[in-house]
Amino acid sequence: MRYLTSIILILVITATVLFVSYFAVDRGLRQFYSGRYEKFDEMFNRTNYYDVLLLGSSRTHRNIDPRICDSIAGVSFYNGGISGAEGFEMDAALQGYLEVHPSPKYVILNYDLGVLSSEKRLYNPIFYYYFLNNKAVYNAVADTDKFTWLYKHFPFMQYLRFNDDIRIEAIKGIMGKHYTFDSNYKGYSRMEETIGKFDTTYLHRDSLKYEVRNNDYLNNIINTCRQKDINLIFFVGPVYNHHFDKKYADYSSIIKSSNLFAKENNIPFIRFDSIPLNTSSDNFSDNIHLSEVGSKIFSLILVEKLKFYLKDY
Amino acid sequence: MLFNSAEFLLFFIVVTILFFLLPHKFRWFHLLLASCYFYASFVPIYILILFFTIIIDYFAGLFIERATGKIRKQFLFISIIANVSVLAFFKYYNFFIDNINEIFSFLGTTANLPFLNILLPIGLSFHTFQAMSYTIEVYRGNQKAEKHFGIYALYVMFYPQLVAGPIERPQNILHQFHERQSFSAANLYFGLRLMLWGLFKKVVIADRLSIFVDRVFDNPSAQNSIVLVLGAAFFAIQIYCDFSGYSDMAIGAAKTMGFNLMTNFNRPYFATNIKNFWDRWHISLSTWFRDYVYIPLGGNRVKVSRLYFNIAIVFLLSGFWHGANWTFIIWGALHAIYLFFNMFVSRNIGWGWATKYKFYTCVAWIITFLFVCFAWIFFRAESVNNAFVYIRSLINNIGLGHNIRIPPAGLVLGFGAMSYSIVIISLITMFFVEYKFSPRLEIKLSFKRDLLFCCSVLIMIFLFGVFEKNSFIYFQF
Repeated sequence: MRYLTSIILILVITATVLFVSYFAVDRGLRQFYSGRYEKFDEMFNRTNYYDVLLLGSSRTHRNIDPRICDSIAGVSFYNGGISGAEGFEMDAALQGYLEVHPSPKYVILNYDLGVLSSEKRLYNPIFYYYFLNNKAVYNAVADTDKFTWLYKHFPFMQYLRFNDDIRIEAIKGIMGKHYTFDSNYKGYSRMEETIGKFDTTYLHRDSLKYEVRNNDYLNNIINTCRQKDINLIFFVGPVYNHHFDKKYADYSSIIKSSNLFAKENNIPFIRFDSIPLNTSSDNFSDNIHLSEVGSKIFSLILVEKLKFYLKDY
Repeated sequence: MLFNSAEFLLFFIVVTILFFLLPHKFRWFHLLLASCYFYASFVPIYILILFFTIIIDYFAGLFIERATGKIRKQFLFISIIANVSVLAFFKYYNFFIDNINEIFSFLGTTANLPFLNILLPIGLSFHTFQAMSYTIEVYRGNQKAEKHFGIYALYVMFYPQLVAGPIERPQNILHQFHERQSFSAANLYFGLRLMLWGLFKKVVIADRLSIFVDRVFDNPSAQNSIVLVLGAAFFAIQIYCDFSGYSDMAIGAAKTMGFNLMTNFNRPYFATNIKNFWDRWHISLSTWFRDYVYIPLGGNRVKVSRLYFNIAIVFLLSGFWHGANWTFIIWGALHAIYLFFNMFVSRNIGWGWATKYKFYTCVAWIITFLFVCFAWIFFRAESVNNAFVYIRSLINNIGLGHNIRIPPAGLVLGFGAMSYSIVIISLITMFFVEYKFSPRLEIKLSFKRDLLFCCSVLIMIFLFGVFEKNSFIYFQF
C-alpha cells in the first residue's frame, strides 16, 4: 500500500507545485511580452470592430502603423501581423479574429513568400496557449500539437513546450522587466534596431518551388473572405534593394504567377517591392524589415495606394 | 516511438495495464504484439529483418539441441552466418564499398562500386547480438532450446530492450516469460522511479548538453581550447546520460511488469582505472564480447603476447560493432592501448594505491575520466580527419589572442547562462544520487525522503527538460 500511496502522492505534490509555479511563470511571460499578449487579446478575445484588418508576418507587424493609416483614410485599421507567421498561421489568425470580431470590410494581406508555405506551423505556439478558449485558435494549435487539450485543461503541461529563452523571459517578467520592442499600438510595434544585419552576399540563390494555386491556406483565406463578404487585397511589402530577387532564383516567376492567380480571383495585387523607399538603408532595419522611420513612410505610401480601393467604402 | 515522447508514455501505460489484466497464457502474445508495434513505429518494413533472423535462430536452436556431433556446430554456424550477414549487409556494406573504392583510387584506378541507399534498421546490432547469444548458449548446453516460437520471438523483440539493449542472455530472461508475473506495487514503484531517473538523465542533462556538443564538434577549429575541453567532457557526460538513461528506462519499464533485465551501467565514471571502467560501462556488451569472443580466444590463460592480441581483437570488434566508421575502430583501438597500459601497471605496480587514500582515488578517477574523454573525441567525430582537427585545435587554440568564447562560437542562442546553471544543478544532483545509490536505485529511503527525491526529479524534468524529441545516440548502432 505504501508504494501506491507514494505514487499517488508524488503525482499530486508534483502537479500542485507545477500548477502553482505555472501561475508565476505565466504572469512573468505576460508581463515580459505584454504588448504581444495585449495584441492577441485584442485579436482573439475582444469584440471591437475594425474596418480594415492587416494580415501577414513580422513584415506587417513591424512595417505598418495603423494610427497613420487611420488618420489618412478615415477608417479604422488593425495590424494583425504576427512575427514568423506563414500561410497556416495567417489563416489561423484570420479565423481566430473572425471567431470573436464582426467581419471587417477589408482584409489586406501582406503577400510574403511565407503565405505560400504549406507547412502546418505556428512560429511560437506558446503565445497562443493563453487563448485556447477561442475555438479557431484551439483548432489551429491542436492541428500542430495533439496534446493541446492537456495545455488547456492542465496549463502546467505547457512547460513541456518551453525552451530556455521562454524560461529566461518568464523569469525576467516575474522580475518586472519588459521586452523593449514589444509595444503595441493597434497591433503595430516598431522593429528592433539592428546593426549590420544587411546580408549582401548572395553566393547561391535558393530555390523556392511554391505551388501558388494549390496552396490550402491561401485558398482558405480567400474562401473565408468570400463567405464573409470581406474584400481581400494582396500586397507585396517593401524589401531592401531587390533582396528577394537576389536571394531567390525563382522569385520573379512566383510573383508573376501570384499576380495572375490574384487576377483570376478578382483580388487586387499591389507591389511595393520596387518602390524608391527600398533604395535607402535608412528606411530598413535589415533586408526585409523597415526601420521605425521607414515604417512611418511606408504606412503613408500604403494608405495612399489603398485609398483607391477603399474609396467605395 | 522514443522513450522520451508522450506517445511512449501512453503506449507504456496501456501495455502495462493490459499486461496485468490479461490471463497469463495471453500475455506473451500481448507483449509480442506491443513489441511489434513499438518496432514498427520507427521503420515498419524493417520488422521483416527481425522476423527473418527470429525464424532462422528459432529453428537453429531446435536443431542444435536435437543434433549430435559436428552437425550441431554446422547449425550454429548457419545461425551465426545468417545474423552476421544481415548485420554486414545493412550496417557495413557501404563502409566496405567506400574503403574498396578508396583503395582503388589510391592505386590510381577506379572501382566505382555502387553504394546502397538504405537506412540502418534501428537497434540492429543489439538484437542480432542477443539472437546470437541464444544459439551460442543452446550450443554450449547452458540453455535449453525454446520450443514456443512466440516466446522465442518475444525474447528477441521484448520492447523495453529491443532497440538499445541491455543485450540479454537467454538464461536470464527466457524463463521469466514463462513465469506468471503477478502485480507488485513495489515492482511498479521501483520500475517507475528508475524510469523517472533515466528520463531525467536523458531530457535534463543529455539533450541539453547535446546543444553545446553538436556545435563544438560541427566546427572545432573555430573554438577555443577551453570550449573544446568542455565539449569533450560534456560529450562524455552526454553519452553516459543518454545511454544509461535509456537503459534505466528499459530496465524500469520491464520491472513494472515484473521482469528483471540485467544491469547495463554501474556508475562508470567512478572507475579508478580503464579495466574498472569496462566493468562498469555497457556491461551487457562487454560481457557479451568477454563470453563469446575473448574467452573462446583463450582469455587470460595464454601467453602475454597472445593476451594482448586477444584484448586488441575484442576492442577492435567492439569499436566496429558501434558503427561502420574508422572513428569507432580508432576508439576501440585506443581503449585496447589503455588496457595494455592498465595491465602493465597491474603487473608491475598494482592498483591498490588508488583506493588507499581518498585523494589517490580522486586522482585515479580524474585520470581515467580524461583518458576516456580523449577516446570519446574519436567516437563523436564525424570522421577521423574531424577528430584530428579537434585535437589539433585543442592544442593550438590555447594561444594568446584567441578569444575565449563560451558558449561556443556560432551558438548565440540555445546555451546561455540558464543552460549552464541547469547543467551544474543537474550534474550535482546526478553525482550525489549515483554516488549514494546503487545502479538501479534499489535503495529504501524513508517515506518522506523518497517523496522528496521523486517529486524533485519530476519537477526538474518539467521545468528544465529539453523536449525536442531527440533520439538516443545508441539507436544508430
